[in-house]
Amino acid sequence: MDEKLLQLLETKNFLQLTADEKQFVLQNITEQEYNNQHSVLAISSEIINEEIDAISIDTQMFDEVLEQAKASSVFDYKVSLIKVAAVFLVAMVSYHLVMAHIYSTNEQEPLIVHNTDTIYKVEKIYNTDTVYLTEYKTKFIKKDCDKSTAKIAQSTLESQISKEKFEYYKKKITYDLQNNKAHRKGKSLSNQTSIFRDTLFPVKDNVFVGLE
Amino acid sequence: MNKKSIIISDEELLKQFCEGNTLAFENLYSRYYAKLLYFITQMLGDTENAKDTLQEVFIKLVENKCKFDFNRKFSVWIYSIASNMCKNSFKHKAVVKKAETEILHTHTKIEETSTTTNEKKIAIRNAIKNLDTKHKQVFILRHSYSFSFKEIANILEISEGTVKSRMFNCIKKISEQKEIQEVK
Repeated sequence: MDEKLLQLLETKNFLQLTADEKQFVLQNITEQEYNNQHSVLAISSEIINEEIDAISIDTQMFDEVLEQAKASSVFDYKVSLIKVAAVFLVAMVSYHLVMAHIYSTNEQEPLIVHNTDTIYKVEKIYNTDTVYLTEYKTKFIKKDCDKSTAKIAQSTLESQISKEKFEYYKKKITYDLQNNKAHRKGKSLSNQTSIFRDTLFPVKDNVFVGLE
Repeated sequence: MNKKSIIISDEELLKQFCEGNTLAFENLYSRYYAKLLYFITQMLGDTENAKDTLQEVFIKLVENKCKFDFNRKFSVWIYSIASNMCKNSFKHKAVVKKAETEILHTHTKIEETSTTTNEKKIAIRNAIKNLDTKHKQVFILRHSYSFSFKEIANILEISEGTVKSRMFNCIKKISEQKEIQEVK
């Protein structure tokens, strides 16, 4: 049903309607239905209001409402205290649970240690009357060679080792040669590898490998 | 009810009550006591139970007086509280069936004391009584407080269309009662 029709039913009887309203009403219901429904609504409203007017106000309830409202506000305060206590209790229980968990974890630690390799640091001090110092000496073999071969060897050596080292070996070889040292032939003294006969330096598969 | 209480709006009275004026609450109490009790009684049926519920409604009003949104209409707010209280009462107590018998009893009492005893009134009163709760609450809200359909929809938390539809069904159901048809 249209809201407009409901409003007309509540406010006017059929005779009070304007021509347009009558036309609108008759599109939905008959005149008799309209009058009947209008009458029902008017009487219903009257009945309801009569029944409401018949109810007497309970003043005792008014006082009780105010009292209960006051009491409930006190109760609310108590409830809030209880809430605070509950929160505190929960916090304490949580703290103890966490701490208990931490302690239980600590107790289990030896089990983990049991499966872990432990490295001990051992220091030993030796007291001896004599201290032996090992002196490592590198010996070079002298082999007669022509100048061109020696130059090739030197240039090859220069590209393999640092200049300082090369100068050192050069000086040492010169010294040894002058003092008739390092006479062993065919093998280097350091690692017993074959040496190229025309040079002073070890070779492997006829390839120069240097001194070191 | 004095002249002053008619002029002051419900919202203004609540504001005054919120500021500590108990007289303002007394005024609101007297304005709404009968209408709310009637509405709740129609919903629950049991008059004693309805009084307890009404008391809870007023207590809720007192507790939340300062929380009220003053952009809203007080009447809609208080009826919403009452409606929700009735819903809770339906849930917690199986009073619906008992309600119907109680309503019959209440109406019989009213009939006896009422001065207007014509046949059509009796027939309509019985027809209203026989409406189911959902339809009855719409019908009563419309006729006891002249709420708009939108306001009824807000109070009952249903759509405006549903309110109109229920209202239409109420009128139809009551009008189609044989007794009403016969009494002219």
